[in-house]
Parts: sequence; structure tokens; C-alpha cells
Amino acid sequence: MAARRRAPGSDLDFLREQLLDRWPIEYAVLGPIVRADQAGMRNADYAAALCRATNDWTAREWLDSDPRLRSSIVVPVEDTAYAVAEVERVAPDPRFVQVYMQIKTALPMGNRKYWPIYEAAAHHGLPVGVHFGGVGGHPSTAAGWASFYLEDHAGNAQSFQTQLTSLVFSGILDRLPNLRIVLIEGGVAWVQSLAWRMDRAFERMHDEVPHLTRRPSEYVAEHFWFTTQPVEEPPDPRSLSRLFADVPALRDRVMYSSDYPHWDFDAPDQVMRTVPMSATDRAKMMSENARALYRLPAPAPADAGE
Amino acid sequence: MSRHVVGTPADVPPGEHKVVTVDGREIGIFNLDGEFYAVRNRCPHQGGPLCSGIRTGAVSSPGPGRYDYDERGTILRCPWHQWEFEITTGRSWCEPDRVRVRAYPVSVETGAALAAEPGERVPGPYTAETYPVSVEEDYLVLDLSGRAGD
Amino acid sequence: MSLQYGGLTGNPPTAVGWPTYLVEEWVGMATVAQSQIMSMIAEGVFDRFRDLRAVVVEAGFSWLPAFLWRFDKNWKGLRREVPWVRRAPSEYVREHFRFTVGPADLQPGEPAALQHVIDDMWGADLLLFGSGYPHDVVARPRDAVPGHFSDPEVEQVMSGNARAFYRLDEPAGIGGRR
Ligand code: FES
Repeated sequence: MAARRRAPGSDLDFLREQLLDRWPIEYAVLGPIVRADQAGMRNADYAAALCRATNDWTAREWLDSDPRLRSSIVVPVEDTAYAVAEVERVAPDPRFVQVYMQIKTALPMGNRKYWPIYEAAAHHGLPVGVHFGGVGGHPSTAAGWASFYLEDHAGNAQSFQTQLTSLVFSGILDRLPNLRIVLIEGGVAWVQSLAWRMDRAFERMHDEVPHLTRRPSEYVAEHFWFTTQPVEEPPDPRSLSRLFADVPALRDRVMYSSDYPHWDFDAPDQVMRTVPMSATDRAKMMSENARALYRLPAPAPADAGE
Repeated sequence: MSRHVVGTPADVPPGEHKVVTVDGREIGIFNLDGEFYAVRNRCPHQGGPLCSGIRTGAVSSPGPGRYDYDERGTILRCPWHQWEFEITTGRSWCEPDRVRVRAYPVSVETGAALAAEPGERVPGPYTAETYPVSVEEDYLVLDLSGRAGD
Repeated sequence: MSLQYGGLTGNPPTAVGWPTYLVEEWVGMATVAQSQIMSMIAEGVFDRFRDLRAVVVEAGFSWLPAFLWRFDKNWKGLRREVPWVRRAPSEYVREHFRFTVGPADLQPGEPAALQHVIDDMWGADLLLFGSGYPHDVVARPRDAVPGHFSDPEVEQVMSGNARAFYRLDEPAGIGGRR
């Protein structure tokens, strides 16, 4: 029998056994979920201390112990000054490859309140990863409080759409041309329809957002990345192939994610396996897009043939 | 040859299961209130290790807000995306005709009966040397060519 | 029932707080519609009221396939939480919902992509012509219908679907179209 383990996601050996060693995983980017959001932590000093402690713990307990691991800088998002200070403190450690937020914020993410966080991330060349979850203090859907987790979970995809919309119209993407946003665990397929709708809205209402220099869909193609889990599963998997053909930018923007250790984990050799696509596109989505975004080294030549 | 001795009833107490490997296939043997069932340990969705999922009762409903829980615990929930499967038939709850895990018949047979038909079964994971079939005992016999739940 | 663009409940019109610009709110109305469809199905409204039908007006439709792929997927994993929902959510939508064709969804530059989206939502079956009057009046109704539709599909969107859904009698006194 195995030695006594801590809960999945809290135990490096167990992570190795269940994920890192079981599949040929070159790198894994950790995403610590810390309740330093509006509803989880109203005491900003404590939220900041918790984030500092989490980042230090991640470096010591995880990154120091396995060279495959990278992580995300958790920040107290609702207190901008503290959040920026934490990015500045941790960013010099190259094993932290992105700044981490959760999708439920107190204000839409394009709000200027959050801009200093994006400036700090962009200054250090780090993407901003935005993960499913959090509690911003608002009802869980745009139509009020949902009764069921089913709605909360599926409804997170709607919050991702809202945040993307807000970021695009806010003007931050003109201000920070190298800002890269990774939408994690929010789905992928909705981006096409949303880009159409934003472009059409922009045609009609551009007077309201004269700071935009391009059509919304162009910002989407340039600034946003998406992760697979829980990728939409159409009844005919070819629908996703068509989507990747119709929105070619996605082939360079979609990255495998596992959601380990949660209840809807996707295995790397299984996800989208029924979706017809070229070997090149699959390699991009399973490795190369993430390698480029997070600047992860290529495997040593000796391993390249594996 | 498709009949395999996979253990004795005592190996799988009521409410429990064990996973055996037969012909390279992992198969979970379940004891539901003294009846034995077998399903492949591979989820038809994305190949998750189905038999290590939570065994639970079927939840149905006569109408909004009302929950009926079937105490028999005949549902197996895949650990990867929580799709539900009926252990007795292998059928998924959501698409029972289209999405199924292979379910096999398991019977309890006496050693005496097995000894009488030596040509018709394979000793399974237990070789004859290490796991002699004795005429006094009962055995679980898994039929790989059979299909439960049809 | 008609679910019409707009309304104010006191909640922010998004799940992440008040947006800055009207244009965000306009775009976001599609996500409000998604939340409402999700709620009506998850709560069992159509299991209690089996004849109830709803039209989503002026919130677009091209988001429907992606939304349903996710909602169906979640239902498969979580349906024990809402066991009265007996079929995949997409089947409820197909039976109980219709959508008005808003100009926002018609991409003149991407006819193939639009056709793919529509193929993924049962073609013309769920679409109803909406004039937009008195907001964005559609000058030529044909422009409000996807360009790739055949004549029978145009007829469905312009009249047949609405006629069936609203149980309208055959039009009287206007000479008929054909
Ligand atoms: S692999 Fe079993 S539910 Fe997905």
C-alpha cells in the first residue's frame, strides 16, 4: 500500500503518480486557488499575507522539488496596490510564469481599477491567467442567483465571455500591446459568436469607445489564449474541427489543461481525441502553444524523438 | 475459451468490488446484495478508470424539487467526468442506448461443477497451481463472451 | 413567453459587476439569455409546464451551439443534482425555445462559418424573423436571414416557424405570398 497521502492537489508524490509520471508531461503550470477575492477575504491585509504565503509555499514545497513544475503568482486582486507589490516581489523568480486571477471579480476585469495589475504583468512579460471560480460578491449569473451547481458551473462560461468583452472595450489592450490573457476552464467554442457580436456592436456604438483603434475581433485574436478543459463536446466532434478552421487563431491559442485534481479532469491523451485535426495542430494545442506563451524550453535534443 | 474463474464469493463481500485482469482487460467484479456483476474498468467516454469511481444510488425524480434515491446503489460514477453507469447493465444514465460500458455475466458455481467441465473454463488470474479449485468451494465465474444487460 | 432584450432587476447585468460601457451591456445580453435558458431548464420549468414555449428576442442565436455543447456536457456529469431534467438540455431548447434572427449574428464576411453555426443548431428550425421595430429596423427583410438559406428555409424563418410556434391561422386578406 502507498504511504499515507494528503488530498489530491496537496501532495506532490500523489500528483506525480496520478498525473506527471503517468503521462509524458514535460511541464505543468500550477494554479493555486486562494480565496483572496472580494467575498472570500475582505481584510485586504490578510488577503495579501495569504497570497504572499501561498507563493512562498508554492516555491518551496513544489517548484523546488520537481523541475517540471511552474506556477502562477496569486494576488489579492481587489486590492490593487497589494496585488502589484506581490507581482513585483515574485516575478523575478522565472518559475512563476503568469499572474493569476479568478473569473469572478468585484468589477468587470476591464475596469481601470485592475489596470495596474496588468501593467505589472506586462512589464514583466507575464501573461495574466484567469481561472474558473472565485466570488466577486455578485449573484452567480447575470440573471441573479442560480439554484444549482450545474448552473454555476456552466454559467462560468458566461462570466468568461463578460470578462473578455470588458477587457476588449476597456482600451487596456491598446495601452498594453503585449498583454496576454489566458482564460482557463471557461471553454473555447463561444469565442467565435462573441467576436461577431462585439464587432457588430462596435460598428453601431464605436462612438462610445473611441479609444479602440481596431475591431474587437482583432484584439481577441491577438491577446487571448484559451485552455481545453472543459472543452465543449458537440454531438458531432467535427463541429470543433470546423470551428478551428473558421477561427484559425484558435489553433495558436488553445492549450491543454487538466483541471487536476477536480471532478472533471481531462487526460492529455484523451481530450479532443475524437476531434479530427492535423498532427501539427494537435501538437500545438497539447504543447507548443503553451511552450511559446510561457517560454518553456524545448526538450533536449536527445529526447526530441520520444 | 471465455469463462474465467476470478475468485470466490468471499473475495468480494456485499457492497464491495474488486478489479481483476483477464485477457489483458481490467474488469470490476461487484457484489450488490449478494448478486455479482462485472463491468469493464474503462469508461466509454474518455477511458477513465470507471471502477474506482463512487458507487451510489440512482437519483430520479417525479417532478421539480423532488428527489428519489435508490438505496440499492447500482450506479457507478466515473471518477473523471462523473458520468453515471448502471452496474447491472452497463448502460449510461444519460444516453443508455448509445453510451454503454461493457458488462459481463458473473455466475457462482461450485468447484464440483467446474471440475466436471475442465475443458470449458480458463483458470483466470489464478493458475491451477496457486489457486486450486476445490470441489467443496464456490467460485465466481466470469463469462467474457457474454453481455449482461441486453 | 417572450424573453426580450433589456430589463433591470437591481442586480448588475453581468455576473461580475457593473460594466463601464453600454456597448458591453449590449454584447452581454447574449450571456443573460444563456443564464435564463439555463435557469428555466435546470429548475424544471418545462417539466412542470410541458407546453410552455419561449422566444428569445434580440439577444442573438449564434452563441447557441457552443452554449448547448457545454450545458449538455455539464448535465451528463451533474444531472443527479436536477434529476427532473430527464433529457439533455439541448433537447429542451429544441422543443421549447425559438430565437429571433438579429442582424448581430449575420457575418457578411464569414458565410461559411455562419452556415456551420446554423448547421449545429438544427438549421432554420428555431429561427424567427424579428423586425427590430422601432429600434434597428431591418430595411430589407431578406437581409435579416442568413444568405445561404434556400427559399424554403427563408420561408420558414420569415413565416412558417412563427406561424407554427404562435399557432397563427393562415393569413387572411393579404393575398398570400405564394
Ligand atoms: S472518462 Fe468517464 S465520464 Fe469521462
